[in-house]
Amino acid sequence: MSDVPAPAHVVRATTTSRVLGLLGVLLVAWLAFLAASDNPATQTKIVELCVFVVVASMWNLLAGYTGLVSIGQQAFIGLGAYGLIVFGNGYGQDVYFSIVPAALIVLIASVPIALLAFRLRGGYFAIGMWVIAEVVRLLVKQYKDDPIKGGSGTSLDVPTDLYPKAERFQTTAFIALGLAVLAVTVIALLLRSRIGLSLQAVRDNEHGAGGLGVNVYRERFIVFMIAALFTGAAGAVWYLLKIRIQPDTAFGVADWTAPIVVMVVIGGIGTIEGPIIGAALWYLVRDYVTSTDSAIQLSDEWYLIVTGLLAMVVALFFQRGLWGSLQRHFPSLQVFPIQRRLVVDDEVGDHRDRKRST
Amino acid sequence: MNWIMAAIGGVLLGGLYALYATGLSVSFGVMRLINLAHGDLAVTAAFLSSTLVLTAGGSPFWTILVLIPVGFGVGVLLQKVVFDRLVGVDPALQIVATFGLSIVIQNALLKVYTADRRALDIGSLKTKSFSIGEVSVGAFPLLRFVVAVLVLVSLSLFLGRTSTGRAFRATSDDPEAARLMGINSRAIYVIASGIAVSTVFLAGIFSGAQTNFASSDGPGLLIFAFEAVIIGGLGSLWGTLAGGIALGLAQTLGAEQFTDWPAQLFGHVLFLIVLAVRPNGLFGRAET
Repeated sequence: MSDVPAPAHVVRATTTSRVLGLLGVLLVAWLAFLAASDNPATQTKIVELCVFVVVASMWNLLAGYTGLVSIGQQAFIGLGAYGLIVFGNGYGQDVYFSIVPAALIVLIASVPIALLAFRLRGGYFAIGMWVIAEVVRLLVKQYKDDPIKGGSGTSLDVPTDLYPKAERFQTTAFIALGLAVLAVTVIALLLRSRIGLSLQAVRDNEHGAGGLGVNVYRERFIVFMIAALFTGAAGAVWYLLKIRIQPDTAFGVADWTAPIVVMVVIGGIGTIEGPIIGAALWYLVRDYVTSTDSAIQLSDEWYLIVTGLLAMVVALFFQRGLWGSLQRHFPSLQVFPIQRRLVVDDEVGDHRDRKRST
Repeated sequence: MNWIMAAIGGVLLGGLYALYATGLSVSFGVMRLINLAHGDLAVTAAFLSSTLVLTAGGSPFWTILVLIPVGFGVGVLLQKVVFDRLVGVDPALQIVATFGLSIVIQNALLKVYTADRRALDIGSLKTKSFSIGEVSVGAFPLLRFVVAVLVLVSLSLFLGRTSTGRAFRATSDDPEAARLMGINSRAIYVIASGIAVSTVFLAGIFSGAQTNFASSDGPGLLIFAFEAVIIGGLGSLWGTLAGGIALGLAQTLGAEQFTDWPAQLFGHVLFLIVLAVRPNGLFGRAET
């Protein structure tokens, strides 16, 4: 017999989530170890993977948790990248430091963009964001003076006496890894918070959530700005490595949003883990099928045809994606303890799950 | 005089945009479905037409007679295989599935036709023009405009005067009530997709006869179609025509005034202004 007045308590972290969380920490440590090695090919892979983990996670935060499906995220990538160019080349600032003002510029730009795009709903919001990204791309192409140099593009100024190549690759890999860890942490904390609860309420039933006092517009606005900030920073980090930039690729929907959508959907939309898994799979499979000594070889076109078909199949038949399907069969499976599970303490003192709420 | 020519060119171009937008407008009006592969289907039609002309010879115009029914069939097939599962679901899934379709079509076209640009050869008609005083009007743009208006007129007669059209409007207004009245909404959706794809096939062939095209052009065409729908206002075919014309005018007049700037930017700007000032479009009904 128990004298505890409350007959139930809320459980968040579970043994599984602790074990998986530990594995996650080990994975990050391993990536950091790889980043510290002086292998530029590995460092390039780490940067590419981490940048896509950031942008895919942010797209998922918008699409999977707030119902804002955007196909204009390349606007923020390109703005972040050109912010880097403006502060690095234009104002001669340290290129690593320039990521910060570049990301802040994207944050500021996201306000008018949201004010316009939020007038559209659902699929029309998606294409509206795309039009906005196109406008930004065309305006950047039109600016033909230094440091943007119009449609022909330009290169980030990294003189090797100031930024030795090996050091730049290593530093960029660490920045990218740090940004990815920060982005995922911010998302996990955000979803654990009150905002996270209201976001998920909005996603599940917008009018119902509004009726319960959730300020739908404001919460969406905040999330949209956070996503823009991180997506912009990721764009800057990408071009810190790639150096050469052109508006048509920096603002290209096929270069950015298309792979992002495929990654998130296959990994599992509406889960924190899904985009990370999707991005990792994207790079692993792509490496495998494009290397000359593997059993299956696909050209770029075929790779995109197959992934596009996969995205369709997942969207039509397995809407939860990989991680979501796994979670359905193993409900305790979660790396990030953002769920609230109500455990009823009954008289013999053993714990039994009565109700689950996320 | 240049201004008048630019304005006429803009109106005629607007007819083409309206033709692009018709399918988008119909799919959204009837099913609340947005197909992001809409533009890629237009490019597919242009490529198919060029293949037909290369193998069987003749002018691209006869291929229209073949490709419109083919387009209807493609629409029916897409509806049965893909779109049926997307009606009434979370818009995110519609976007992802049709975006996936768009990636598949673009890369399949790239694989088959390479990245080279192609053009449909319509011979002397391309350069033919009528002169009224100092103003000259291209014969082909005029023909294109007339065809676009004819398509819209016949579509609105179909929707307004036939019993199938009534079923369309009923399904659009309230699918649940329409079903209770014995309307087979699935059959309506199939026809809607058939119309959507066959009109965008027609638009793709007309566009390919005027300017050259490549496998990656679809997204750009989708954006024009989408802008025409939003500028005109959702749920109105005549609004879509007006939206297309407004978009065409913005592009040609903008390019006339600012010759160094890309024409499509002025269309985008008009779209953003309409969005900011009149989010329901020029002829839109209240929020749906």
